[in-house]
Amino acid sequence: MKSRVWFTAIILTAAMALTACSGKASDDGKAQDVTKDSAAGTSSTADVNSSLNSFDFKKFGVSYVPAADISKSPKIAMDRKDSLVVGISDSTGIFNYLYGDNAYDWYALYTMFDFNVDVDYDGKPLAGATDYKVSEDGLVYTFTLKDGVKFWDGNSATAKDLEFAYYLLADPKYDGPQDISKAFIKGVDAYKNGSAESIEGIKVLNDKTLEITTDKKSGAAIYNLQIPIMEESYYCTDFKKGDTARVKEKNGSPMGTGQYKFVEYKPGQELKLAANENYYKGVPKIKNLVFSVTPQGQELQRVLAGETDIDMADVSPDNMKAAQTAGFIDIYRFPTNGYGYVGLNDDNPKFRDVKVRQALMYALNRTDVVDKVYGEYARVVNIPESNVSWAYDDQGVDTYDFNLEKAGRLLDEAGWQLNSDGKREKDGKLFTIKFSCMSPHAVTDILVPVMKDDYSKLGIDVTVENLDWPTLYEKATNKQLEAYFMAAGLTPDPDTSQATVFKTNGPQNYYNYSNPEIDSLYDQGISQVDIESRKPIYKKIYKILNNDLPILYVYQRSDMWVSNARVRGYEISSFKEFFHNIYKCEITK
Amino acid sequence: MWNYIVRRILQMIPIIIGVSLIIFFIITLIPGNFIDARAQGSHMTFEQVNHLKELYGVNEPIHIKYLKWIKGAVKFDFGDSFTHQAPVSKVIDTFVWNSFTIAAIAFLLELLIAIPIGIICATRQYSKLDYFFTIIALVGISLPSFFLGLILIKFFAVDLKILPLAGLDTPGSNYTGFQFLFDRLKHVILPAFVLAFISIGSMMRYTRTAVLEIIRQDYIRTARAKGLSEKVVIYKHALRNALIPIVTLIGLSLPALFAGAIITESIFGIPGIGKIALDAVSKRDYPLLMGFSMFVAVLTLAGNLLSDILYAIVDPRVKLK
Repeated sequence: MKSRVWFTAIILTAAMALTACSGKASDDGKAQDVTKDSAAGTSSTADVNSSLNSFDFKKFGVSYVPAADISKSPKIAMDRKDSLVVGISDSTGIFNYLYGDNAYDWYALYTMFDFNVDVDYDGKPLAGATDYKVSEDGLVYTFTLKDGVKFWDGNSATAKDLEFAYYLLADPKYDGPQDISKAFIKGVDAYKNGSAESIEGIKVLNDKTLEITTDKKSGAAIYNLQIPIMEESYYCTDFKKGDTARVKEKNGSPMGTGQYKFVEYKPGQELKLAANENYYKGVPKIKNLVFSVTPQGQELQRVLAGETDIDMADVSPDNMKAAQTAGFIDIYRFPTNGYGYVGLNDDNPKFRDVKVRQALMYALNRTDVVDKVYGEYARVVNIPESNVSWAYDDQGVDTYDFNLEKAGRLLDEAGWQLNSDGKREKDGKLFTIKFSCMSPHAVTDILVPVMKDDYSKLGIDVTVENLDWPTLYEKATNKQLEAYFMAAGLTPDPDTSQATVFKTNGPQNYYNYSNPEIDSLYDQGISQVDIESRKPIYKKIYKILNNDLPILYVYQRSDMWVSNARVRGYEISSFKEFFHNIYKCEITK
Repeated sequence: MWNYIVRRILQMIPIIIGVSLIIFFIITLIPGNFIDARAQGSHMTFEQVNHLKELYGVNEPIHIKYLKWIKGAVKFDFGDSFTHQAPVSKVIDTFVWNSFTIAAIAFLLELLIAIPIGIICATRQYSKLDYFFTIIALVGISLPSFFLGLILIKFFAVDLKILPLAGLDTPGSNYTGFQFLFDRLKHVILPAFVLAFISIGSMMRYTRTAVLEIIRQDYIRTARAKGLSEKVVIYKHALRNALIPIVTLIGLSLPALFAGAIITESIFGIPGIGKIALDAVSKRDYPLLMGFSMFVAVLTLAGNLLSDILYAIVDPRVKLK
């Protein structure tokens, strides 16, 4: 068994080393999937009576499998009495939430900074370091800082600090990844692209309270108004328009109010943090927090060796087994916030007919592919939404079970008849598909042969083109591809990541998909602030998308965190990493 | 000799300009760009992507981009790395020393092992020992570093648990002084050994050939005829001359010491320049990639010059004009 794990490690690392696009190939894999049935995993879970595990994993679709025998933990880990070591794949050293866009740096940032708004375990917005109120017309947001929110240098956070973050985001020279325009704050455009010296919609009411006025009612605005609490007097006293360079100088030496204080960073290797004794929600129980960079493919091995305490490992039956056999590993597994799909150019005469797209879906043996790649740790999806999201509702949708006969019938109806060579033909043109994908890639290495085989039985020849990640992405975004495999990430709000994808001429609608009904439904969905009244709208949207198949949805896999059981108290779901509440974790042994 | 050095350095200028053109165009003509590579996975909005493309000048014509870049490059300003958001020279300086430490240890190991074995093989040509080391040398040359690295990790770190899996220091440790050195040594020994093992073969074969050639010379026969002991003949008379071509090889190894080992560093999780450069490719971090390529190009030229100079110093038959 051990040798199989080892073999997997060789393959993974070899693939990584050889492709020269390591980060992407597997990040991309990570950006996508879920579990066949999360509840099934949970049923094998013994009830742990410890108060440390009072978190309701099941409720948020997390399968938690506790370790059988903590005493098997390696000595090197047990000797670490006051430190928690987290394995991460990468670190760029940019410890400013508004500038960094490396997911692993964000983990550290969640422990160093508090946010005015948090996201709850099911993706709903939640008061963070401020209490917030939305006016009845849904246009005015009032943020009041909670008592005791203090920076590491002892200064209390004020409304000026909140204001500073918004001004930084709205600055014409701001070159980070966030886009404040989606919060529709009044006057941002005049500040960013005009000569206004201040933003009309941002008002400091008193020392603790900030009021934001928006132009437009938007259900997603509260998410887009999320900012970290950064001390203005530390980052840039009297921040003026265009002063971003001064703020960026501090990217490597953060100042926050969060659970852990910045201590030391060894570039590309290690980040050391120490507990914030004045943390407003309570002193973190573990004194030191260390982030250690781990080579890809060795995440699980390092936890097994005791070098790290927790890391996200590739989910596979082999890794799962290795973790369980070790005895001292707690496993947290939950649906990945995203899905893998086959993208099509819906404007291509071949794919324009819905019946053709449906035929291609019926002829794609998704169950088989997903089972071969991920076993029980992924599930086939029929709508573009995570089953953990509040917006998920797949009642009454077509499941497109593998059915070549039905596929053939649909193609006949669409006018693609079999010719004398057994190939599909319409108006003298043969039906062929040029399929582009990355290789090697865990999913396409299996999906492509299966697809080729089944489509050829239908009378469609598939040719394959292998590209590296940035090339594939550029060609797909320029709509130069016929069909390709890719993965999409999802956001807590269903509008943020999806409306731009499925609305007519949406900036991320690389599929040339257009359906006026979908356009108007998305507009309705975003104009509601109350989640309950938004739900039925998204249900309708997904029903239509399930029928129209702008793209062929394939699977949602799981993420798997493997943890040395000596540390307990992690609270985790698809929408919220445990780093937000890491102050609750403690070393039990 | 000074004349020679100055002339060689002047000759390097057109070469460097040519190299810069090739590097620049190859790198910028790869499809994809930094902003799009960054946008994926971070939920950047379409508007923000366009705003950033404008700020970074992604859509400017290629000759304008080159002129902008070369203008900075002549002043050793290669711009800011996109991913690290710091000057390229600073990024290289941060990571190159980790690579250098390992490469230097590996290089020393290589010399200490390969040269003596090469001499032994030459003096006992066609013996069983010679065949044995020749086989080992060929295995070393043909073994991919990732394979050897993983085998060693499996054996020493996973099974025996006497060496760590990855990194340069024990995570969360606060060692100082001797303890720190010992800890660091434990971490670098495997990667250094891998790097040494894959290059020992060629160095050993070079030494063997050089020694074989020398011991057939007349003056060696003369030395033997004088009745000198075999030891003196080999180590005093033959070896000194045999080392001349080896010195050239040492000069040519200069870029390898600083260029980092992409695969070995990735496997052992060492924050070295090779790993950083590999990431820069997949993230399309052009400034870093171009700065790093130029750095290696200059080192290669400097290595060539160094080996020519060393040659003149050790071999009195060579005169630099």
